[in-house]
Amino acid sequence: EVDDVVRELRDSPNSFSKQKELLKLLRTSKIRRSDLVQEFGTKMLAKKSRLGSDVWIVIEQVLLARLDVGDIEGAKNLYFDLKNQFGKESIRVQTLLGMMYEANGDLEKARQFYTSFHSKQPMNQLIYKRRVCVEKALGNWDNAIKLLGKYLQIHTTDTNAWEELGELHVKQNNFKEASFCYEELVLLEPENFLYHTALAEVLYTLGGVDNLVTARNYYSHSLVLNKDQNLRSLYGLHTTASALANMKNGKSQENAKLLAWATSAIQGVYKGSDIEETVNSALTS
Amino acid sequence: AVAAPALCKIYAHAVKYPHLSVFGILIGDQEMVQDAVPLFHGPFLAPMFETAMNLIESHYSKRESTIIGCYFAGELLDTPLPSFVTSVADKIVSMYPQSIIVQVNNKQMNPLAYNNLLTQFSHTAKAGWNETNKQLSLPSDTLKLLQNCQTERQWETLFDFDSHLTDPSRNWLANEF
Repeated sequence: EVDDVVRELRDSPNSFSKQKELLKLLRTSKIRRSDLVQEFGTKMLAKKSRLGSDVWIVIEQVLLARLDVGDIEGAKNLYFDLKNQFGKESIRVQTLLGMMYEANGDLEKARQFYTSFHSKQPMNQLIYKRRVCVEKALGNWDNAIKLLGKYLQIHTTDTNAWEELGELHVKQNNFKEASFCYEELVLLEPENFLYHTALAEVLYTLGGVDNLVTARNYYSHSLVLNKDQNLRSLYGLHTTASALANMKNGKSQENAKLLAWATSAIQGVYKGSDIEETVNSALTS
Repeated sequence: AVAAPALCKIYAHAVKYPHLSVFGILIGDQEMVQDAVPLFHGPFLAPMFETAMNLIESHYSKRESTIIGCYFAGELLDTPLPSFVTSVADKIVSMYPQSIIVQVNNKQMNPLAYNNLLTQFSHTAKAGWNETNKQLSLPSDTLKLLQNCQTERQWETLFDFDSHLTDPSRNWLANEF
């Protein structure tokens, strides 16, 4: 979707309505394209009056994009706009100040800033998360994990945080701990096919017949939830069933059926495509 | 040595996801890394890695060249080669004994710094993965290639396996530059 809007914008780069559409799309989808926000958001801010009440959201969005692309000076200007409007007491504005320290590479300063801020506002989720981010930026993965774990003891239903913790554990090869995170996510959002797939991936990586059978079940369930746009789970089911078919206690009629189903489903996806032959020979090798 | 298609794809892949680590497979022979297949942005696990490897092997089985290793760019400015990359590379080298790891040095992404952009790691049974070549031989027009990548925003049309899994119409096996 983003690609489509971008294509339209490259044809008419000064279309205010298209710029607005793109920035809104990036805000809601949370896709990180700071280069686009910087480019088209800046154009929009030149016509501030046309933004109406959205102006502050857009200013914040462009500020963050400028930090991301390294335009600290440009971000500072927008920070002052927000500070003047919302006051220094605003937590959201203060957090942006902390992020400016981060973007500038003043990580120790950012860490102290957030820590002292956190002691005054211990329940504030934004500040807590920035503290985790600073640890990540310093490469202190284990500290980040510890902090995030503490956060989740308080904010137990924060799915974004569970996702983040799961990823951190995967990075550190802590697959058992990662599986626990994805199990929490499946419990919190049982209709979310992505979580079932993520759990399956970790279980397969842990290995062993039992984990693979469980993985196979989670891949299957993910496909029940989303049959048509779930190629990752199709491949995952195929990989898992293939592996089980080659394991002493893994073979079964059910497994063979699932393997055949997955194979044919994947072949269906690539029918008529450039790589149809490549895929078919890989599947049956 | 590294040929232009491989260089550009590695560079574009790293540029496309500045906030994430990127990983891909190298194609070529002992003398030359001819091409690169971008696989993942962010952390990845066994199922999709094994799937991608199968597909790559199938794709290149009729061609002259073969898998010759993998490339990696960390998410932080300064990343030593992480253990999960060397574990994955261990698996690759067990199947393709001449494999190397090429790491992108994130502090050298400015095209003018191209001489120090890539570092090569080779494997021995005794000592594991060690840096062997800090100045891989690159095409003579590398500066121009990297600058073009930036001005033409080539990363916008580069799709890795992760992207393909979200949208199968994106051909990750034949990124044409």
